Amino acid sequence: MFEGLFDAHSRIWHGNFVHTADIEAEAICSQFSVEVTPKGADQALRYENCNRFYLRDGKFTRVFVYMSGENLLK
Amino acid sequence: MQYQSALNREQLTELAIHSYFGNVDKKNLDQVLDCFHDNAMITVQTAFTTHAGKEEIRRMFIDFMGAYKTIIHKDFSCTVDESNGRITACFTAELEDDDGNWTTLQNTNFWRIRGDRFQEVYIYMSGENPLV
Repeated sequence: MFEGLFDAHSRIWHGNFVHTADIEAEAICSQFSVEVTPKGADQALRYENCNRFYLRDGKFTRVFVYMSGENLLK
Repeated sequence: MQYQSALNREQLTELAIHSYFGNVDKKNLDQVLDCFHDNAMITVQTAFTTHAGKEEIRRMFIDFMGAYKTIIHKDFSCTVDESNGRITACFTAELEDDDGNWTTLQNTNFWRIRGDRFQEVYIYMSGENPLV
């Protein structure tokens, strides 16, 4: 999935993060903006996404992604 | 934007799940609006739709409550950031229209609380936006 994402785009940027961090529940929900430029394209695509991360022992066990446009993670 | 809130973990959960969603499901419009500041904002981020100010939010809820005879929000999983006055919940929304057609959504809400009420609400939906 990540190989597909990296191969398909010449630029990938994530920023404007706002986190809801819950140490007790070992979870973090993050809102952020995404800009990706498909290879061969002149203009970037802009997304406003969120991720819900659930962790155990400092690593992700489940990650849920909401995208404001077409799914980039196939 | 970062806001000041003194609500603890239990109070944040009570506001978002019981005071807000509990009253949305009962169509208690005034109690729902009591959860918001006058200049609050709701953005459905997956539909690029924003309702700014309590009057716009009131109009949106009147239309939403009128469009569905049954509104159910359930199966909440909350992530609470007490030190920053933020709470997130993922949940199932089940909506029945007047013709008996059901719509099911798996959504996530982000609330930013100023004082003891919502200042900003962001909604990410798994399907078409019914909050128009």
